[in-house]
Amino acid sequence: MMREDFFSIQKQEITENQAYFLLNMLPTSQVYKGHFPEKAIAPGVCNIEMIKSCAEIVLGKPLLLAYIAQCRLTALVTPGDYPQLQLNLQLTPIEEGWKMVAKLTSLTDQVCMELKAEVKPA
Amino acid sequence: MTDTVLFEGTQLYQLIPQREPIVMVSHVYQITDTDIKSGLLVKEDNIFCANGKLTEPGLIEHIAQSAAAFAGYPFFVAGKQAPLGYIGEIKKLRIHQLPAAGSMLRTHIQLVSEVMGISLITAETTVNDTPVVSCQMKIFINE
Repeated sequence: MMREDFFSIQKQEITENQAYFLLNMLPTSQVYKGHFPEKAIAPGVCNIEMIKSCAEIVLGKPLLLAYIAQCRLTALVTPGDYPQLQLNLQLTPIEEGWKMVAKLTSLTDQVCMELKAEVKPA
Repeated sequence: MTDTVLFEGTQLYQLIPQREPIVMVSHVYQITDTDIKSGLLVKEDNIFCANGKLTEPGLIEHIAQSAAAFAGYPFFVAGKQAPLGYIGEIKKLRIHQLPAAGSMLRTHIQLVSEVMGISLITAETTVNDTPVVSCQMKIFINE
């Protein structure tokens, strides 16, 4: 559901294991009915899933998010205030999959999320 | 494991601000000053289910909302509305498996510290005593 409902891709630049995505945050997503009824705030877990979805595009295969070393959520992302987000993604092969380092920023380069994780083939 | 149920279904709305379709806690079994035992019966139509399994964001959100229920309990006791809470940081989160729809997740959250509305917790989630996910999380509560 996530890829169609929560965000869309405006632009993508992929060079080997590095990628840049410009993402549209869709205010019509069903998650905002409950998160929260009075104030739409993008669930942090949906932003993490969005990053994984972009990694799947870069690597061309479905992935499991096996490990999060650290994920810092540094802004409350509302679809109104943040209609678009930029994602910078680095994927480095490791023994059982890829190390994934991601930074999600606003159009004015405010950092919204920093993620250090490991993904492996689903 | 005790099966006494303190809160279930929409009774959880007294503890957490999230509403459908993103409610990821269905049971609370125990709450003390320092821990909570919660659960989620994974329904097939869960927003985070894909190919018959609960996916990563659903698991993480279940832990975050279990922590929210823990943080919301004193507000409930005081007759107040559940406060909004946000994940500030996730650390050392390991996903062992994606549970099948129909599974009953059981989660134990322990409070490590609480300073100025920021709670640091550890979480362990199992299905039938088999590890599913574990992590540390920082939660901000907006009072």
